Amino acid sequence: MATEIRLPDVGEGVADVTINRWRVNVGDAVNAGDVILEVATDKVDTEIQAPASGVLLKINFRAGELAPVDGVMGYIGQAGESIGEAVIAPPAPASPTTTSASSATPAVAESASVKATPVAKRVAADKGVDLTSVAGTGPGGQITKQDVLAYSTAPVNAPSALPGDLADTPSLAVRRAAADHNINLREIAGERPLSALTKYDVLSAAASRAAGKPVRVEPEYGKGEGRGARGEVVASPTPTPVQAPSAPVSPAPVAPKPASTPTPAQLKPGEELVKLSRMRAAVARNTAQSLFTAPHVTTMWDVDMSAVLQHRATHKKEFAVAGVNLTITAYFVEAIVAGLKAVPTANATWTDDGVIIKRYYNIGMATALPMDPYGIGGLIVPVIKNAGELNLLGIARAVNELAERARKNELKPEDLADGTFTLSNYGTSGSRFQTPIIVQPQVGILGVGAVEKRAVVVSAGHPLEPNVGDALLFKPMTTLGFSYDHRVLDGATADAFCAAVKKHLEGYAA
Amino acid sequence: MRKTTYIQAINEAMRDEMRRDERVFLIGEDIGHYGGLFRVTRNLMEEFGERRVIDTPISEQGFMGMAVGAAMVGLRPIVELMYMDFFLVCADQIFNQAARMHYMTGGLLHVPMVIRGQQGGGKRYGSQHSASVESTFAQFPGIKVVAPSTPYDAKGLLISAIRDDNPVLFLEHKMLYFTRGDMPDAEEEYTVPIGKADIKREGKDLTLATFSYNLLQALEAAEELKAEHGLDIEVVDLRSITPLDMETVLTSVAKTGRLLAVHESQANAGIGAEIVARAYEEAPYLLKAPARRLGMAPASIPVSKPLEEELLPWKKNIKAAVLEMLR
Amino acid sequence: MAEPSLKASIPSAQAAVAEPTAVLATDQLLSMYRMMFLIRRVEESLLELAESGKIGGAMHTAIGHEGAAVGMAAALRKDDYLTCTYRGHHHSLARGMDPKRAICEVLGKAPGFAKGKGGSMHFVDPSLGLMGANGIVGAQVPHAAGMALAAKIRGEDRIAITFFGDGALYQGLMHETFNMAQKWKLPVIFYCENNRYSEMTPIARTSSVSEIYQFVRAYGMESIQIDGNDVEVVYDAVSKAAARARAGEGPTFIEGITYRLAGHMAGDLETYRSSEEIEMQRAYEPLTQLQQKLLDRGVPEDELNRIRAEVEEEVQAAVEYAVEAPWPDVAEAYTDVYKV
Repeated sequence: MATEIRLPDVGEGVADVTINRWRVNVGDAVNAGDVILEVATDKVDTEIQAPASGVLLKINFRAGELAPVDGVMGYIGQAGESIGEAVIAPPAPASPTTTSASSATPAVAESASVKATPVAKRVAADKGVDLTSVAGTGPGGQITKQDVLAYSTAPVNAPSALPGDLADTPSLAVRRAAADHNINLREIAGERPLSALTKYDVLSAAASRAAGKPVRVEPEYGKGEGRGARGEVVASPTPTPVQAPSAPVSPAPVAPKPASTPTPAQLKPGEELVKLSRMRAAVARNTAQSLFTAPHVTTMWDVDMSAVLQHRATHKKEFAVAGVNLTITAYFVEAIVAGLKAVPTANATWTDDGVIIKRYYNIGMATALPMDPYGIGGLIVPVIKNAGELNLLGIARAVNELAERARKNELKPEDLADGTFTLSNYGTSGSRFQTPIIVQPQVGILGVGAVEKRAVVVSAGHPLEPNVGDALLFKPMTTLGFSYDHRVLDGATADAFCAAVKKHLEGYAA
Repeated sequence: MRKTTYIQAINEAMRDEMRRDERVFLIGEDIGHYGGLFRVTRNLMEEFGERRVIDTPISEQGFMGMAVGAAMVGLRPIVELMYMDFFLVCADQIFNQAARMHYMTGGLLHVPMVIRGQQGGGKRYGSQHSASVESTFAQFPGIKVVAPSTPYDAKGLLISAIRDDNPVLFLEHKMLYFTRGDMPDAEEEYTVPIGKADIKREGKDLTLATFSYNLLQALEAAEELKAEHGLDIEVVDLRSITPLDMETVLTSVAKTGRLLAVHESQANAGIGAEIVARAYEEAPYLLKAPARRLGMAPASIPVSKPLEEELLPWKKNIKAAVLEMLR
Repeated sequence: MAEPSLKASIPSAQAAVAEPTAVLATDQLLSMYRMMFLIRRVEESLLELAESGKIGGAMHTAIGHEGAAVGMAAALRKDDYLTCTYRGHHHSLARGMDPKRAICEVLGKAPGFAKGKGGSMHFVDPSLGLMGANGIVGAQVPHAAGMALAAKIRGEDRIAITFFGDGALYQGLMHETFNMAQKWKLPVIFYCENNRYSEMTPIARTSSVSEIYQFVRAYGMESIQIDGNDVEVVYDAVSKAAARARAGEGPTFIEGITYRLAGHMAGDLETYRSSEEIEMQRAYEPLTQLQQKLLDRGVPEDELNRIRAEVEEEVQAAVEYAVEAPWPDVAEAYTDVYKV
C-alpha cells in the first residue's frame, strides 16, 4: 500500500504552497526522513521529508505549481506497485498528472507518449519546457519547434473567454498580431469566441500559412492550468540510481545557546543567568538608544486588504513560473515606497542642522529568529536595496532572496546595512497591533498586524450619520502601526504617509 | 568573405533586384545622372537607363504620389528621399495614401513600394536634415519600417523590402554609410526577413534593444561596460520597427530580467516607449526592474558639435542609462 | 454668387472646342441615358438613406455631374486607369460597378466591394480600371500620372484619366504633377469637373485665375474648356485626348463646366447659393440635355419612360438588398492592414 506524501503544519492561515523543487525523481528510491521536496509558503520555505522508505511512485504537483496544504503531494511505495484509487486525494485542478489513477508510473507513460520533432525536443530541453504541457500543431498533433517556442514565452494563464457581449472582443496583443500578419481571427477561432484567442494562436496560424498549411489551429490550451509546469520533474523511462540525499540544511542557530555554567553567586535559588548573545546585546542597545533619542509616537490605521489578496490570487501563479513566491510582504514594501515618495520626510534622517531627505528607498524587513528554550529570540533586519527601482516582481524576488539567505544563515553584513525605513510584520506572529521602535537613524517604522476578517460598516451616504444604505460587510482587514520620530514628522504628516500606504494597498487592481 | 561598405550593399541590392525584376524602378532627386547626393544610386542609370532610373524635379509630393500610383498598378518603385526629414513634405502620399490603401480598399489594391533614404544626426546638418523618423512611422499601420545596422543586413533587408507587397520605409543612417562589414560573394543571393530581430551580442545582465547606428554605439558601450564594470549586456538589433519582433526581445528579457530600448528618434511617445509598454503588457513578470527607454531628448538637433553630441542617445548616454539601471 | 447661366459662364468654351466630330448613334445615346438615370437614382436614394440616418460620415453626391462620367466611360478602354475624388460614385457606376455592392459599401455592409471598410469616399474596383477614389483633395492626381508612367515604363498603350474638382487646382501637388506629366509626356488626361464651388465657397472668392483651363498652359500642356454637361461633347473631348495620349503626345487638361445640383455633401445647408440659381441650372443639367437630344432625334417618350421604370426597379431592389445585407464580421477589422 503506497504512502501518501503530505505537508506538515506550515502555519495558520496558509491555504496553499508553491512547489519549489523535487529533490528526487519518480522511480528513485528514498529513505524515510530524506528531504525529498521543497515548498514555499507566504512565510517560510519548508523542506518535506519522506514519510516512508521505498520508491517515489508518483507526484501530483510539479515545480512552480501551487498545491493545497491538505493535498497529497505524491506517493511512496514499492517499485511496480499501483496506487489504489482509495488513497488518491481529490485531484487539484492545477495538476495535469492526477488523472491517470490506474497507471503505476503515469508521468513516465505520459512522457513516452509525447510526439515531438527532434528539434522540438532539443529546444524544449534547452528552455526547460515540459513537452507534456505543450500542444502540438504539427502533423497528427506532433509538437514542433514553433509550438515549444510559443509555449516558452506564452503567458501562464491562457485567457478564458470574456463574458457576455465582450466574448468577441480580442485582446490587444491578439489584435496587433492579427493586423501584423493579416489573419482573419474568425477563421482561426472556429467555434471559440475571439476573446479566447491568444497571440500565439495568431502567430502559429501565420506560421502555418507561411508553411502552406491551413491556418485553422486547434485550441492549444485544453490542458488548462498545467502550463505552469516545467520540465524538471518528468521522470526518465529508466529510473536513475538513487541520489545521495543531501542532508537537511537546518539554519545554524543564531539565537544564543543558554549558558549552562557558571551560576553567579548572587543568583537566588531558582534563578539562572543567561549570557547575552551579541545579537541580544545589539537589539537591547539599539532599541533603548532609539527610544530615548527619538520622541516616538505611533499612529494606527486600518486597511482593507481585499485588493491585495485578490491581486495576489490572480498573479501568484505567474510569479511562481518566474521562480518567485509572491508574498504579502512584497505588497507592503511596495506600498511603503509609494508612501515615502508621497511624504519624502518619512525617508529621512534627523540632524541638528536639518533633515536629510533620501531619494533612494532601502527597506528593512524586521525578521524574527526562532526562539530558544528560554524564550529568547533574535531580530535581524535585512534590507531590500533600491526598492524604489523595483516593480512588484523585483521586490518579491528580493524578499525571497533575503528570506532564503536569512534561513540559511547566509546574510552578509551589507544585507543588513543602509536601511532608510523599516517594515515590521508582527502580524505573522498573530499580533493585531504593536508600537514598534524606530531603527536609528531612520525616522519611521511601519508595523503590520495580522490580516483577519473583521466586520466593517460600509456606508452608502454620509459616513457618520445613519443611512439606509449602511451595510455590515466581512472584509479581510489589517491594522498598521506607524511609529515615527516626532522631531521630523507630526501627526498630520505621519498620517499623510499612512494614507498613501493605505491608498496603495487598497488600490491594486486584480 | 569580402567586405563592402553600407552604401555599396544598398547599391548592390537595388542593382540585383532591377536585373531580376523588370517591375523595379528608381525615382527621386539627383539619383540618375549624379548618382545620388550620397552616391547610393551611382552607376544604376548607366546600366538601366532613364526609363528605370528617373531624375525628378524637387517635387516630393508629386513624385511620391506618382510612385504610389505606379505601385498600385503593379510596378515596384524605389523612391529616394534625399533626407528623411523631407517625408513631412509628402506625408499625405506616404501615410494617407500608400499606408492606408490596402485597408481602405478592403484588400483590392496594394502598394508595393520602397521609400529609402538616410536619416540621423552626427554630421552637423542641423534641425531640418538630421531627424530620425521611425517613431512617427510606427504610428501608422500599413507601412513597414526597417532600419538595418550592417551592410549584410542592409542588402538582405532591402531585397526583402523590394519583394514585399506593402509599402516599406527603408531607413539608412548617414553615419553608417562608410562603415564596412562582411558580405557573401556578390553572386550569392540572400535575404534578411522583415520583422525578425537579431541578437548582435550575448549577455546576461540587461537586454538593450536598438537598431541602425545606435546599434554600433550600443555595441561599443557594451564592450566598455564589460571592461569597466564587468557587466554583460545583451544587444538585440531590432532591424525592423514595424512589425516589431517582441518575441526575440522578450526571450532575451527572460534571460536578463532588464530591458532598455534605445533609438535616435524622440523618446517622447517613441518606439522605445512602445517596446517598454509591450514588455509590461505581455510579460511583466519577466522584468526584475523597471524597463526603460532612451531616445533623443526633446529638442531639435543643433548644428554645434558638443550640443549635438549631448542630445543624441549615443554611447555616453547609453552607458549612463545602463549604469543607472544596474548601479 | 456664381453666374446663373451655364453657357454664359464659359465665354471661351465654344472657342476652345470645335463642334463634336463624332456623332454618337441613337442606341448608344439611349444606353448612356440609362446609365445616367441609374447614377442619378442611386445617388438620390443614397441621400434618402443618409437623411434617415443609415449612412454615417461624409457622403458627396455628383448629381448634375453625370455627363462627365458617362461621356468618359464611352470614350475610354476598359483597361485604362481611372482615379477620382471622393465625389466618385458616378465614375464608378459609369464604368460598370454593381449598384448593389456600391450601396452596400456606402452603408458599411459586408457585400460592399471593400467589405464596408472604404465607404462612399473610396470607391474602387481594379477589375473595372477603377483605381481608387480619394478622400484627400488632389491626392489621386499624381496616382494617375504614376499609372501613366507605369504604362510608359512597360511600353503599354494604356492611358490614365483622373477626375478632380475646381477646388483641387489650388493644391501644390497638382502643379508638381502637371509639370512632370508634361515634361515626361505621360499618357494621362486631367479632367477638371468645374462645378464652380470649392466645397462651400465659390471659386471666384478664392482663385486669382478666372479660367481654370489656363493654369496648365504655363507648363505647355494642351488644355481645353468644354460643356461638361453635354455627354457628346465630353465623349468627343476625352476620345481626342486619349488618342493624343496613346500616340505619345502627352497629357491633356480638360475643364468640363458643370453644376452640382445637390449640396457638397449630405447635410450641406447650402447657404452659399439661392434656390433660384439651382432651378435655373436644371435647364442645362446633363440628363435634361440628353433627354431633349433623344426626343429631338425622334425617340418616343414611352421608350424613355420604359427605361426609367426599369432603372427605378433595379435601384429599389439594390437599396432593399443593401439595407437587409449583413454587417461584416468583427474579425474583418484586423485584416487587410498588410498584404501577405
